[in-house]
Amino acid sequence: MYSYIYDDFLNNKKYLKQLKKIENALIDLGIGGKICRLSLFNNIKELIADEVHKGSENIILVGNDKTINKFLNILVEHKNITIGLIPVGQEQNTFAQLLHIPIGENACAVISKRKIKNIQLAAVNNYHFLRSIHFAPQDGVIECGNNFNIQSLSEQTMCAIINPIEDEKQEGTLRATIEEVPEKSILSSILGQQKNTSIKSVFPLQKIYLKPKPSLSLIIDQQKVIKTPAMITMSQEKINIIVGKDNTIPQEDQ
Amino acid sequence: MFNRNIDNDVLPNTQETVIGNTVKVEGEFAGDGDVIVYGVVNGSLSTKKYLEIGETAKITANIEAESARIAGEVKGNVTIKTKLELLNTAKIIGDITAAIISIEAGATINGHCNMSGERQPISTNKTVEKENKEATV
Repeated sequence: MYSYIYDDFLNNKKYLKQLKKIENALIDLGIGGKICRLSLFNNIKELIADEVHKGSENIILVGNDKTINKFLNILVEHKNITIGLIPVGQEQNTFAQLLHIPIGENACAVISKRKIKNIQLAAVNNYHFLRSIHFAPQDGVIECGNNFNIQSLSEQTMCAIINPIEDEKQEGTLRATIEEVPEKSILSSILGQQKNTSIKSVFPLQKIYLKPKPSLSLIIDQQKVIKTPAMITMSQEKINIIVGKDNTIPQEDQ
Repeated sequence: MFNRNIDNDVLPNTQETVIGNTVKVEGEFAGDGDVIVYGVVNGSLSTKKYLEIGETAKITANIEAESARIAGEVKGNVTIKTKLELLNTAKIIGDITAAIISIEAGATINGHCNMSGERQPISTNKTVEKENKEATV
């Protein structure tokens, strides 16, 4: 049984046509189901619990990255369900790209094929996230377990903690990346070039503790913001999610 | 600032660690995969696989690896299980232990070099004087 949860931004009239196409595609493929629309009056936790209680084994989110962010920590509590995504709109659909799911009604065929991937989540202060945390440290030190610290020697740095969900070989370990934000001179702006002689640092890590002074803002999955101190680890929790076919050419191992 | 294109988060397709030229690592760093260093490391640095120290790297640490290629500065002992390559810009201040060593012209080493795979005890001055006396008699 399929339950389709529409995010509240889809109430806008501009999405009406696209939603109609999606609904028709689902019926044609024989995977129609109950449609639930998010609104101010819905409690997300109760909505999911209700659908699972009624026997729904497939919760399909219709929306974008924000939709996954809203539901992830609730869906993780329900072990036996499969999650799907039908991305709508051209913006904020990076998860769909990572999971090889096309935008709009073409995603319905992916849902119908049910290629399921078991993905391990990461967590920051017990809040689960799917893909990444970004932050810009200012004289910050990143503690990695009890053994060593990483410090940026550059004034303008961008850091990311990545959960490599797209690569089975790298699953189970976080990747911390640190790179210098290039300076933009007027000439380079005119020529369309950016000065950047720095080499991106990559650290495979199990645990990262961030406690810079002053406190930093961490952007989780490009949606939610929390403040440090923060303990970032791979989580024990996994989700089953329907993914598309990976048509990229695999790189040869070195 | 944080509307990042997905391409910016593409990771190298290996388990390797890269310490870039704008990063400093302090403490005991132990990797399982290949480690490539262009920045600063203080403390200790070890890996079970291949270690590459770039020309811009400054290491103040004891180093251990399966194999290594050094083009930068190392202040500390270097212990390599198989092959060690020192390029012409390499500067080692410490003892080297390796099964095979390749040294380019221009590399500098200030320390002992042991190729038996075991560290030999350093001779004291008294022992050297005794050996010299025995030699002249």
